[in-house]
Amino acid sequence: MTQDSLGAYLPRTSTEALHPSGAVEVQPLSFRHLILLRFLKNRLAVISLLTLLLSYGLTLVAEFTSPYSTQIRFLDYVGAPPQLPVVWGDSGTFIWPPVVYGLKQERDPETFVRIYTLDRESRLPLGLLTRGESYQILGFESNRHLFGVEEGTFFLLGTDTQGRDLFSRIVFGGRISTTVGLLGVLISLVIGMTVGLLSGYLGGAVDHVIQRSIEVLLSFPSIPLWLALAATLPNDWSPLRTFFLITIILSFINWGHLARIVRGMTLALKNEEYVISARLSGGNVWWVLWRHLLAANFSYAIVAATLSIPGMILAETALSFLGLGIQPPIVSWGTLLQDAQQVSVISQYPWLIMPAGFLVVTVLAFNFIGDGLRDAFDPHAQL
Amino acid sequence: MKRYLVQRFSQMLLVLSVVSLVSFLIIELPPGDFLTTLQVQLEEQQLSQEQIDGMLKLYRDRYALDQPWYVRYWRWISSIVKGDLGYSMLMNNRIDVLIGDRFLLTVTISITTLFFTMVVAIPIGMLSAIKRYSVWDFIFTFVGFIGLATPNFLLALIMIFLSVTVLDVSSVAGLFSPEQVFEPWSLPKVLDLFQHMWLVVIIVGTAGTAGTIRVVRTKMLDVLNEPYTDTARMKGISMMRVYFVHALRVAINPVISSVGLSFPTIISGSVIVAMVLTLPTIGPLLLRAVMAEDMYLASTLLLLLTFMLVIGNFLADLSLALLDPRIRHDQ
Amino acid sequence: MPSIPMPNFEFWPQREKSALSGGVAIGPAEMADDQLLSIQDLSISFTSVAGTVRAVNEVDLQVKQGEIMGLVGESGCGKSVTARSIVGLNPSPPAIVERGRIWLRTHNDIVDIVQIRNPKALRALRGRTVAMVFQEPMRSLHPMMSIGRQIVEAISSHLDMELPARDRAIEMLELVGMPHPGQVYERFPHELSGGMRQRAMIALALISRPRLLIADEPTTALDVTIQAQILQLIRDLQRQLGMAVLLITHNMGVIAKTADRVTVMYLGTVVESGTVTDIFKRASHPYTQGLLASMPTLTSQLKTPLTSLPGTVPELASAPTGCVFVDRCPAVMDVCVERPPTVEVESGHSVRCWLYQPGTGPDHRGAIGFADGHVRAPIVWHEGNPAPVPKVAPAQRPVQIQVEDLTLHYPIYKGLIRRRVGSVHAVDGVNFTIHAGETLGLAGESGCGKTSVGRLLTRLVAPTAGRVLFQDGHELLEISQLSPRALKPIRKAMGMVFQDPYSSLNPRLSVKDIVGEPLILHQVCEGKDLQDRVGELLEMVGLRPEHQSRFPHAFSGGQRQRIAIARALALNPTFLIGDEPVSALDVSVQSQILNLLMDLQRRLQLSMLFITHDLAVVRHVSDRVAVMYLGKFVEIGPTVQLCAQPAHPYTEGLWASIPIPDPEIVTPSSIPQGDLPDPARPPTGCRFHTRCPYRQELCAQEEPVLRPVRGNPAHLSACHFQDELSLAGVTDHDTDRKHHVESTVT
Repeated sequence: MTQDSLGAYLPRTSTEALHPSGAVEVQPLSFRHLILLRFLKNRLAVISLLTLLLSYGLTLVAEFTSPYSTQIRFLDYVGAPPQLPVVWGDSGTFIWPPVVYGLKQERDPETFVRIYTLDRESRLPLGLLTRGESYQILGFESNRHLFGVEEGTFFLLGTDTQGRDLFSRIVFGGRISTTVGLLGVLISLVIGMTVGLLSGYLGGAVDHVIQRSIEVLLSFPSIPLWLALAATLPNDWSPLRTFFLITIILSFINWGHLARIVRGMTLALKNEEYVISARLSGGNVWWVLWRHLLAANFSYAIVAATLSIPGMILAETALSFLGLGIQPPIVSWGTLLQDAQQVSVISQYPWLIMPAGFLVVTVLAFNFIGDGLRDAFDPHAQL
Repeated sequence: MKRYLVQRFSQMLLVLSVVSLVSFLIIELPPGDFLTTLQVQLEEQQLSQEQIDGMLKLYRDRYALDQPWYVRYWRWISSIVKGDLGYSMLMNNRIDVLIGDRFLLTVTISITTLFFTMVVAIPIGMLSAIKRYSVWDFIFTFVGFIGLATPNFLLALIMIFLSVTVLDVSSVAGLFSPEQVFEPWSLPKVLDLFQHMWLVVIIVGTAGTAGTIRVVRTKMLDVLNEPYTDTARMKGISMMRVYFVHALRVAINPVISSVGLSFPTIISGSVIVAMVLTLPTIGPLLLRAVMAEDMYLASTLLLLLTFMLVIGNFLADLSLALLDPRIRHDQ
Repeated sequence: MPSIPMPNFEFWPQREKSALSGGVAIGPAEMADDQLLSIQDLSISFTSVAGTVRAVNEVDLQVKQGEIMGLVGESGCGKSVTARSIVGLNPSPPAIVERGRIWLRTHNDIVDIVQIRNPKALRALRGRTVAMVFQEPMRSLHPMMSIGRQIVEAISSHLDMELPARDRAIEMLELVGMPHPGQVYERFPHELSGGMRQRAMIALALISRPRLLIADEPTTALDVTIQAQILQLIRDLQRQLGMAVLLITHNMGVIAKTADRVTVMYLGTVVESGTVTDIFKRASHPYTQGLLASMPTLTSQLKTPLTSLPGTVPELASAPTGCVFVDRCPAVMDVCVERPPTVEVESGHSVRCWLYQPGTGPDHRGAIGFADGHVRAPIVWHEGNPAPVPKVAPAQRPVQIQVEDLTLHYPIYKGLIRRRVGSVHAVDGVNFTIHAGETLGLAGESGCGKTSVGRLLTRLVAPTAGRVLFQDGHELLEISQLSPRALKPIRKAMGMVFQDPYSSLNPRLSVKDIVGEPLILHQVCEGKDLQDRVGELLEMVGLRPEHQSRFPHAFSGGQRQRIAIARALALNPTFLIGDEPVSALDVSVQSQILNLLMDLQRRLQLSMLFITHDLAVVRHVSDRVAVMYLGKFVEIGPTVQLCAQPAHPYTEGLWASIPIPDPEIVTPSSIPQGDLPDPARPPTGCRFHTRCPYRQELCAQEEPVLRPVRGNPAHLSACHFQDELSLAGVTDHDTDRKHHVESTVT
């Protein structure tokens, strides 16, 4: 079905469904507006986007969001289990504000393993904007935290083997892990789009050389290559410097895919009649690239980039998990999961695997958003 | 076909040589003279000065360390091509001895995973496409997304976790039964390997399977909309024949050509899963080499893995050419 | 797909026949013995998130045994959906048959397709009773199976096998005129040309000897000479095998040449049906009349405005609820908001229009009596008024563009090191001149290099050799070697209109940005001035100035083409290139755009190069015509002479291949045989000799040069025997259409 394709029987866009007899008496919708409408129709993608925006917001001000800092150790509460807020009392009474029960530490008389039990006597009221450690954020100094207890301790997701609050570390780690993804994809987006556009538009020998290089780049198995590259980083660098270099290494390998996609699109688009027309109208290479090809490619590149963020995040996590990525004292989800490497540790402190949950949700959300964007940009899609 | 083969083969050789160059560059990347590091290392082992000098001279000659970089590269790559993988200076052993069965096991795991991926993903992808928007499609799509989002080392951790907490087994690791580990290769040992490997294959293959399901589904939907599918239906043959003989033949193409894309993931995955599960494959050795900053060993391993990948891609392209007359006829 | 186990269709016991049609009683009494297919009151709708649209609306369609029924209509009129419903190929969902019957006479039974619930019963009909040929031969054969395997697979297992499958397939390939059928049997589709692929597709469809062949736009993707071959083949096979054909097309010419009876559809509704003479000689529905009037024929007065249907085909979702044609009809009445009845105006000729309903139509409008006693509403469409023919002969005007020995060879690279292994001779030594205010038509089949000529003139590609001289207002300037910077002011004087109105406008830019792009790039104006100028341009092409803030997707194909024309004219060019500017448009819109182009050309005194494969169009708009074949001009001359007395056999063949929308015109059978040769390896000597019906020994050895025909320096042709041959051109036939034109002229 081509001439009379199914599409011919379905209204092309909402605007055209409205107009009475082919006349254009309708509200003109811009391309962007149309894409936005299509995206908003995809509920899963919208929910994912909201979730991610919220979590980015919260991790951005991690100092405020988390009850404790990443390095503070509660030596009395090493390996403490999660404390969940309680709203319904034992006798079925409603408790407001919610409280957490304090922890009582005992030792197994035989193995000397620490055992924590809930101390139902000690009720710690949970509060918003509680006072705690002071921190500096964007030049402000404060000691207010989003939530917490004023007296005693509150470990929402328990503590690690060194007595540090896991939830706080996950929030801080999220900041690093998701930033690596965004930053890395941003870098590879810039490289990939530039190289892809030039390669596709200029063609010839330039294209040939670029394509062969990308082929070589993509021939390497990524994780072993990352490992080898990460190993070449000097040991004496500051953790922050390492972090940026890891990001660059990750995007250095990732841009190849993007460049290929953009090149393919450019090849197809450069013979589109509107591009030829722009050349005839006196547009030079840069005008054509900027005004026509970049915009047309951008949507595809954005989709590809969104879908490659998860890969970046997973790669960072994997590297850090193996101890070759982000270095302490900076925490990332990978370094947090490092603690969960040993079977013995997991069996004793199963909550240490919690960072993985956050990781999976984030990656899922990026995938859903990417999928939603792809459908929204799809020129053949129906509204 | 012959011309395509020659062209594709020469392309592979080109890629291989550039890959080897890049691997060599990685050796050269770390700052500092390798010999100095080695000297310190040897001094720590409290060897006599003559011994140390002898060792240093040995390496200097062997790797032409006092020569310009291209001579060094040539020495390195020509000895590897000749089958002499070299000597790990920091681990004090011949690299081929260090590798031992590891390479073979890595290849076995990777290829088995590849087959697992195909065998699972193709029928599911087809079902999803044929029964589009059905409950099955929805379930597989959802499971597929989860599979894509779960890093395989995490899957390995979860497996360990489950086996510890639920099954109460102390170890899931290992590719062999304890009594087979040190036995020489034999049929029972191979069977034993396959009995133990399935868990590893599932862990490594999940992400790839999820991805391949999406690819098969999308391509299958495209193919089902092609006029030649209508032509096939108009022949009055059964729908099963239309799906499996006509549509699948075309829909499987991107899957085969994406072997080139999923193979790196599988190898990467098997490397990292092997580290978590401490399997006797290339992965842990590579990690050790990297940790010890033994760049010669690390690069050699990287080179071996990449070679395996490039050759795998070449084979994938060949089978594609055999399947698809358009490629065979150099269109 | 779950299928209920069913015994073999052919061996199904007679008494249980009703089970086949899902428990519905057999055959309607009113189905005459010679009826093969009877679609009654069929409505099909498509459901999507945007709502439900009815793609097929109360359609009646009859096909008799052994006849060719033409189903004609513009894109989106529902003709394909109707045809596909006969074999249950419409995907469901989204397609739902709301009501109606599709009675089909199978080999031993009459079944209602709509009622068949069992996929196996439906399958048994496919290939055996009904076969189908699709539009794009490129995509309708399986790309990875050999031709032979595909045909053999289609051999119905129920047939008596007097011959092995392979022999049968080869026999069939021979029957469809495939050269070397034995070799083709082993070949793959990509190794065959478009025409050969369509022959293979026909062989595949006919291998099980179906009673009905549905051909869905079988020639739309093919060149005109190949189209003529395929149509001829379908006609021959239909007679030879005694089958019926349902031919679906948008091309009235194809219908006129091929069909016995015709059904015309518009927006999912059958508006008119009758014999081919009924439709073409006594078209009754205003839509049919308009469609026929708006087509440039080979007898129309040159360069006159064509009649055109106003507006565009609306989206199905917004189709009028009464008469579907109500918003475009010049004879519209109050009653037209209600759905009109189907009226039989003469035996076998029925029209769905209020004009013919006793009590509404003729009473109000004043019927005119026909000689044969039939009553018919007045002709509602009139030919447009002819424009004053320009007084000055174009050749006396100054030269606008002159091309000397223009050549373009594309290198072919192969292998890893990209060795040059040969070249495609896209354009091979072409000479011509276009004078100010003149239109040169450039005609030829795909791959002949006509698009390359357009690109060379605008320097989108640099020529391999030759010169292009362009009048820049002061002098004739050599532009083929200019630097991009020096080229910029030259290009200001050139405008270009492209084929595809969807790809020629950037969907991300507003109309203002699109039309204003050249103005911005040449720094002609900006801000408010720009807005005014764009508004002015839009008005010039018949659009509203305030629409400039809109985006292309809010416009229909014809409107988009108007925007593209406005952009091409933004810088007041003196020279306009139209690269197939109307080929992608529906027939009813095509004439609007042609009229606009002709009108603008006259008003703005533009020189024009009009590139097209459609000879009827090129004949209508051009002062002179050049015919191109494999990179070379084979003939160039004034339109009138080139049409009436072509000197080159290829030109004759092209004229003969055009399907003329007039069933009475019998074209000579000098259709070029075979396929276009590979442009990378053109034949020796005369490039056309491989397909020429008049070829002689000399033709393969010596290459002819362009030389005057019968001493006329304005008419050149490249044939060794141009003075000896007397070739048939397009002679004016005294049809009533022609008569009508003349009567309005005088």
